[in-house]
Formats: sequence, structure tokens, C-alpha cells
Amino acid sequence: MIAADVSYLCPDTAEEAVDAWRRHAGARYLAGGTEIATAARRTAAFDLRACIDIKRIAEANVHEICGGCLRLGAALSLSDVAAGDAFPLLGAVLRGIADRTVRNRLTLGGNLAGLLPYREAALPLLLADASILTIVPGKGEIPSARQERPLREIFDKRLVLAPGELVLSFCVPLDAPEWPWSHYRRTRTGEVDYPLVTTAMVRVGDAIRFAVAGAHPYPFRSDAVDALLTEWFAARGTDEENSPPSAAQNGPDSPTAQGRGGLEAIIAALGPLRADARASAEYRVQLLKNLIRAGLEDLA
Amino acid sequence: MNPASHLGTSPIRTDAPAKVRGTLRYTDDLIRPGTLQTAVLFSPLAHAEIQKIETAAAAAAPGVRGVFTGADWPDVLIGLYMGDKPPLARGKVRYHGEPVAVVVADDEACALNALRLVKVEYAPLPALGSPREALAPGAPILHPELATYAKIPDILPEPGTNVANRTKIRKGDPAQAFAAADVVVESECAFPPGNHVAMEPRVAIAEYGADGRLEIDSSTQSPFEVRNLLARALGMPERRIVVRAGPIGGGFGGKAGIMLEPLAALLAMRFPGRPVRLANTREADLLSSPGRPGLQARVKLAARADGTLLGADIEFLFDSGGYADYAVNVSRAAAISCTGPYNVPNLKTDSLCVYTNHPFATAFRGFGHIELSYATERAMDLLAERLQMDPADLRLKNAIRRGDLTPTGAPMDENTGDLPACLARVRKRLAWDAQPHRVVQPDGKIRAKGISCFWKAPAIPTFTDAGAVLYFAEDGSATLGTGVIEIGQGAHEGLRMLVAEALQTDLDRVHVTRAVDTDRSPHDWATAASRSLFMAGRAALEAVADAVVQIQRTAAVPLQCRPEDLDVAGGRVFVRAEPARFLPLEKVVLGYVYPNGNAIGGPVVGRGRYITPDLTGLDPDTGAGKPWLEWTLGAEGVEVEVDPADGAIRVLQAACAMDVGKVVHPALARGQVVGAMAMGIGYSLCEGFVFDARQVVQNGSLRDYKILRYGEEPDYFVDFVETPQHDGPYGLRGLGEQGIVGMPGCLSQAASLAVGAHLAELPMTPEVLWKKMQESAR
Repeated sequence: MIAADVSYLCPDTAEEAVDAWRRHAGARYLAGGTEIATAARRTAAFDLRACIDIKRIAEANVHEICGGCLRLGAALSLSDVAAGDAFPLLGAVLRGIADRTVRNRLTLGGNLAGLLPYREAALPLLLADASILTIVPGKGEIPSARQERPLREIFDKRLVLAPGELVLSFCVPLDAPEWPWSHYRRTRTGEVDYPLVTTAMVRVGDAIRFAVAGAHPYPFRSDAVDALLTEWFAARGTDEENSPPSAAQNGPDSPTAQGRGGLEAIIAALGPLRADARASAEYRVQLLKNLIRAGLEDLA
Repeated sequence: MNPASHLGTSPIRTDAPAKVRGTLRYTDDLIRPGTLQTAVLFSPLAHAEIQKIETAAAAAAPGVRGVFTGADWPDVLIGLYMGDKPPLARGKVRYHGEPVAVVVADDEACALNALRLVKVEYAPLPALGSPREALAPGAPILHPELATYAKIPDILPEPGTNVANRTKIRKGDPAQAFAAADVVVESECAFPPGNHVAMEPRVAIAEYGADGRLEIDSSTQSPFEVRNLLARALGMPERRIVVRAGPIGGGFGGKAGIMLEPLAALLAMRFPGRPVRLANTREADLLSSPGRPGLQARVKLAARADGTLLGADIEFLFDSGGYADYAVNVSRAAAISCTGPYNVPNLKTDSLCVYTNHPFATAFRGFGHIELSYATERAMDLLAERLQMDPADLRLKNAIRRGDLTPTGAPMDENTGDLPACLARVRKRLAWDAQPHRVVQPDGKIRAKGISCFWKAPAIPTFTDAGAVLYFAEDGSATLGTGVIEIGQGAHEGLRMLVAEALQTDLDRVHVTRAVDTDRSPHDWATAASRSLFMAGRAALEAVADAVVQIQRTAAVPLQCRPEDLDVAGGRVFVRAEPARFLPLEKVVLGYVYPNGNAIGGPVVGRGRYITPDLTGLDPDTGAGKPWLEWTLGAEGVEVEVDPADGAIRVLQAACAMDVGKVVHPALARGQVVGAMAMGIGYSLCEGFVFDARQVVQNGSLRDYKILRYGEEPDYFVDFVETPQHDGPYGLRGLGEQGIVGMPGCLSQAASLAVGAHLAELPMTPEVLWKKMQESAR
């Protein structure tokens, strides 16, 4: 059980939510509640005094195309976003998370803003150069204010938010759902588990964009890796040896690929990978190599 | 013969609607006013000296009635076969998750908040991470007081070491057999301890009455064992203890021993007149309460060039964790069945139960047989490979048959099941002889098959008993009372069918009492060892026979015939030669009333008893004896698909054929076997604790401890052979656990074939398979 006495607040608007946060010291925003419930139940140090439920805020439940973008509320459940299918890559990524019953509770905003290091929903949004709409609580006489910024600007391993800042929605440019995409997810054993590696890839013209979760203790996207992948992908037509082989072939990396950078250089550019009770870094490298190859093949 | 027999049909079980609707009441659904709630502090370390426990702040917290530590009961030791466990850690902790302190409060929130004020200072000690480490010279001795522990004679601990029990089996002349052998193989294998992950976490609610009686409600498989063991641990006679158990939400052996009851009882005795509830969270259930043992095993086989086994030299090292619990008998059961279902004339086996600093181990589905089977099947595979022999042919050649001597020297009797027939059915299902066992698919994935044989005997006391009472209602229907717990297995449904068959009546005229209460139910050893339908079934049949005699006696008077000329069937008692002369049962079972009001007879109460006959213990030096009642034999096989790119493994199909004597309820029988096979797949491919270097569990929650899920399962094929068990009711024998036993063996064989390397550890995760492939590619 959760042994604390917790105030439950259920505002109708974003302004009320951030005002409630100002009035209740130590308040937490409550979306799906899966992490809060577990942490509050199991961790003595987890301070839970007030929950501000954001699921009734209309703005955080928006799920529509308007103003040239697809706007997705932060309080939408992963099941609802996936069912909407307006952004197929996002739907595919979300369907990989947890199981259906849990996805009915998990929210888009919660997946990005939570404590768990995977935050897989961030991958398609980072690739799409989505923007994020938040509201920052007022201070003294200064009223609360909304901010819309590129997600990549405030996503450094995790969402970097000001105290009390509440995520309301994400805005995906309408061309993003049209790009060829690829998604793979590998776990230690069964499907319902945290990922060892989740990859998401899109092709924008000739440029490859790549993001990965699970490989590091945070979701990862970098321009340098995108450039290397784009280069390797471009080389594919000119040199059969160098074309990204299929995952099933499991052959050694072709020497030409390595000579020109290729897969080893891409892996190196990802930096040291995570090793934990689920898998070694070495195994994650192998999975990444397989999935990058498979992803590029999908995008060819 | 009964023309309306239900045996072999699959009626809907009577508890199904309540289970499906979620309205069945389990133990923790009993909410009594005035119940005191508890919160337990668990050790974060696997091995440490407790230097200081600060409880004053917690004791002063609001709503708190008391804070207790191991020092509160300096002399109490709890155990099943050997009393080695204090109710709360005393002086040191021996595993991650060991209970160290408990807060009792008016409500759960008060207890939890106060628990956070309890401060413990530990001095870490080196932690033992495997039996071999624990047996190495210089290893810390986890139980220096081992010599002083009370125990039963069958358990042979070795004080001054970490050996909690050693069972020796010596048969024939193994040295000579190895000298004469054409081929000798030696196999080692291992897996870590794990957990049952029953759906219902364990709970005990105790109340100490003003009359000096202790009442316990518990999610237990063994209410009578709990009463008996509590009596011994507390020094209180059984007559002052009552244990009640309703249906439980899965046990798989994890609720067969004594668990939360002693601490709940000790706390209740501090607060007479108030129930005290001790309930596990999921995490406590995983870590703190006992799980299943780990194993390190070495099996050496000697054989002739044609594959005939000549001898075996076997060492099982069971990882018991910090305490002995049921594990000392699990290791003994593994010794009794150590060869698997093969005729091995010469044998030397040492099966050890070894203390380590892992979570402690209790009974688990298969009870030593899944462990021994994994070890012997791996060795049989090595032998088949060495001889370049089909692994199924090697098993067939050595399959145990009637007249062969088991490891303990007693012969397989006329009830011996037909293992060759089981093997043949699995071979056929897998197209074993028609297709290659390893095929590379066009997409690069590798499909491979594996086959194994298994056996299991119940590991039970020589005097395992079951009682049954049959009484009747005004409508002539019968109610059977037994000590069997409904654990999901459906034994009550099977008993209902046996009674209806014996009374030759409709199923809906028989009811089986669901709750067991040691004050009211007839004595029954425990709902474990796949013995309920066999033993309680025997008792139930005797109870029916006893009731029929009483019915005949009452009815003979008004029917004006001799009692022995009467038959009971179809809800009537009638003259055998003249069936038109009858009385409906409702006019007899509570006594017969004449038209003028005179009455004779009285309520019929059928009494049935069963106790295992002719069983013995083991000779401590040779293991000779007859400790087993019956053997269930069977074969299992799988087809797996492995992706060489990353080692991902999928079980495509799984087959099991076993000789169960007689199938009473095919759907429930299949359900038991399929459930056991699923559990065996999880055991082999994903389950088991992961430890860090200090033996702290890394996957102590269901976020991290992964079991098989619906949707990850293969196509199941289940088939039964029916060689009658003559002393079993209608010829049946046990089948509840057995489906798990052969799974690690056939999965390991198939996966080894797929990756091209001998696999000797569980779980076989994709990463493990991938690494093996990398190694063998080098």
C-alpha cells in the first residue's frame, strides 16, 4: 500500500494545474500513475504528498491534426495514440511498450517524463523533429506561461524541465508520418519487458535519421550518427560488398564497410553501451548491428 | 459397470464461475474487524552481522502497538525437517530479503510509516554464491549450530560444514561398471535458484484467543503440517491450534511448508484477542518467502558401445539458500530418483543440500525431479552424441521396465507405466523419425527438435495419510469432506467424479467441501506430491463403501430383504434381483421414517481412510529401501527455432505423453500438463534469480523477474497412456506436477542442436545462446 496521506487534485485546465503545483509543496503531476504507484509503494524515500491529475485537462488530451501538424496530448494513453495510427512509426514504437492492459494506463507524456531510462516514445518524436508544448508555473506576480519549443532543444537524455513545468502536448510535422520508417525492439527474453535495444529509423530523402533506446541509460539521437548512417546508406548502391547485409545473414562486417567507416564506426559513435542484469554491452552491440542493418534494408 | 459413468468426460468444474468472475474468496479476502496490521523490514544484504537494531523511534510512532526483532524470541527455531530458522533474523542475516524486524500497528499505513524509523546497522560478511563455493575449504560456515538443530532421522546434516543434508545411494559395483565400459561421459550443468511466482502472494492471519487457542487462517497447501510444525516450534500441543485454509491462488509447492504462520502466531500471542495479519507484498513473496532451489550437478555415465547403461556416478549439489526448509527433502527425493527413468544397475550417488547466501528454497513443482532430470538428460545427450546414436533410441534402449531395480534397489512392480509407448507417441508427434532434427530455414533461422524422458515418484513420509468423510443432505445428495486444498489443480472436481462414480449417481448430487479446517476436516498429510486424487480418492471410495453399508442396513428393513442383496445406484437403493423394489436415497440417508412416524437408521456418515502401505526409509549408507509409492513415467519433446543473428529462441511445439493409469477428467488433466509444460519452458528459457557479486538479488520484482506469458507459448500436444495403477482409484496415478520434469532436458537438447554446442546452464536466454554460437564459431 501507499502509506502516505496524499492530496488528490484534479484540475480542468493547464493554468489550474500549475497553480495547484505552486500551492502544494512537493506536488507531483499524475498521469498514468504506474511509476508513482510503484515508487511510493516500494521506496521509503519517495516523497508523495499531493498528486495533480492531468488527465482531465482538455489540452493534454488533444489528438488531432490542426495548424499543419499532428498534435498529441501528453495525457493520451499509449493505447489511444497507437490506435489513432496518424504516425505509424510512433504507433509501432508504442505498441512495443509493456502490454496492452498497461498501455491503457501509460501516457505519452509520462513515458517521456518518467524516471525509467527507456522513454521509447521519445524516439519517433526526436526523429520527427517534433515540438513540445509546456506550461511553466508563474512566479510571484508573473503569470504562468506556455512555451512551444523543438523537443530536441529540451531533450538532453531526458526532458529538461523547469520546476513545476507541465508537458501538455507534442506537435509532429505532417510530413514526418510520410517518411519511410523502421522500428525494431529486442528484449532479454519475452516481449513484455524493458528493451535491451529499441531502434527507430526514418529516411528523409537520402538522409537517414536514427534514434535508439535501451542501449544507453537514456534515449539517444545524434547528428553525427545520422551523418555516418546516411553516408553508409548512400554507399550501398555503388558497392555491392558494402551494402548493409540482412540481419539473418549474420556475416562478418565487410572489410570495405569498415574501411570507410561503416558499421563499426557507427557503433563507435554511439559511445559505450549499457551493461546491466539484463544483458552485456557486447550483446547490445550485436543487437544494434543487426537492427541497424535490418533498418537500413527496410528503408532502401 | 456404470452405464452413466462420468469418468473420462470433462464437466465444467464447480468453482469455475466464481474464479472467472473474481468472486471466489481467498485467504486475504477475509477481513475481520480489529485486525492488527504488520510491516516487515527485510535485509538488504545477503550475509551480514546485525550489529544494532534501533526500534525506539518506530515504537513511539502513532498507531504502533509493538516493534519486534529476533531478540524477542531467542529460543524459537522453525523448520520442516530441521529447525534452523528463527522467525526473525538473530545475530546475522543469511540472505537478501530475510525478515529482520516487524512493526505491529492499528493499520497498515501506521505500520509502514513506523517501519521507516527502524534503523539497522550491519557488518557485511563474505557471501556464498553457489554450493561449490559453500563446500570449498575455508568457506564461512553459515550454521555453526547445525549439530544442535532438532531434525527428523531421514535428514543427515554434516555439522561443521554447509551441508544441510547428504543422501547416499550405492547400488551394485559402479567401479567395476566404469572399468568395463566401452564409453564414459561426464556432464556438468547448473542453474540458479528462482521462484514459484504463484498468483496469490502468501498471507497468514493469526489470533490467540482468551481460551488459549491459536487460530490461523493461511494460504497454505498443508494445514495439518502447519498445525503440527507450529506445535513443535511453539511448544504448544496440537489441540490448542486450529489452521484453516480456503482455496489458494496457486502454490506450486511454495505453500507446502511452513511460511508466515509462525511469526504471525508469535505476534498474535503478544496481542491476545486481536487477529494479526502478516501478508506478503509481491516483492516479499519473491525474495523473503522461500522459492525453489538452484543446482550444480555432475553426472558420469558408463555404457556399452551399443548404448546399454552400465553405471552412473552422480553428484547433485542443491542450492538451499540460507535455510533448509523443504530443500533437504528435495535433495533426498532427487537421490531416490537420481537416474531418471533408466535402468542403471550400478550406481554411486551423493545428493547434497547445501547452505548458501541465496534466498532459501522449499518445495517446487517436480520436487527434485526437474533438477535430476535436467542433469541426467544432459548426460544422456552427451552419451548419445559420443555413440552417434539417436537420443530417443538411447532412451528407449535403457527405458526402465517392470522388474528393473530403481536406484534404491526396490523393483518396479506390475504397475509400471509404459515408457516406450509414451516415447513412441512423442516421436510420432514430432515426426522424429521422418524428418531431420535440425533444419536451416530459408530465412536463416534454425529449427531443431529435442526429446526427453522423465519419471516422478511422490516424495512423502512412509505414513502419508488421507481421511474422508461422506455425509448426506435431505435431498439425498452427498457431501465429501477431505483435507485436500483447492490450489487450482481441480482435485476437488476429480474427487467429486470418483464419488459420483462409486455411488453411481449424477455429478450434481455430489458436493466436495471447499474449505479445510483442522478442527473439522479429516486428517490429510498435505496437498502436495501429486497425491491428492490418488490418496484422498482412495479414502473417498472407502467412505462411499462405508456409507453404502449403512444405507443397505437401513433400507433392508422396510424393503424386507438382506442388506447384502441391496445395490445403490441412480439415487436409489434397490433389491439387486428385483430393481422395482427400491427406495429413493433421500428416504434412507438421514434415516427411514415409516408412515406412522416411527424412524430407524439415522444419518449416514461414511468414513474412509488411507495410509501408504509398505514404504520404508533409506539405509543411510546405501540408500536401500522402498520410499516410493508409484511412478509416473512419460516422454516430452519440443521443436524450437533459434535465430543465429541474436540467439532469439522460440518454442514452436511441445509434446508430452505420460502414463497416468486412468484419465478421470481429460480437460483438467490436460490443463495440469500444459500448465506444467509452460512452467518448464519458463524455467528453462527465462526464469531464475540474477545476483550481484555480494549475492544481492538483482531481479526481485516482476518488472525484472520474467515468467512465461500467455502468447509466448507453443502448440501443445498432450497424450495419455493408461496402464492401470492397481492400487489407485479406478487405476489412476498422479499427474499434477510431472509435465514440468522433462522440459529442461528436451529444450536443452533442441537448443544445443540448434546452436551447435552443448548447453549446460539455465536459463537459456537469447544472449546465452548467442554467446555459445560465438564461442563455437571461434
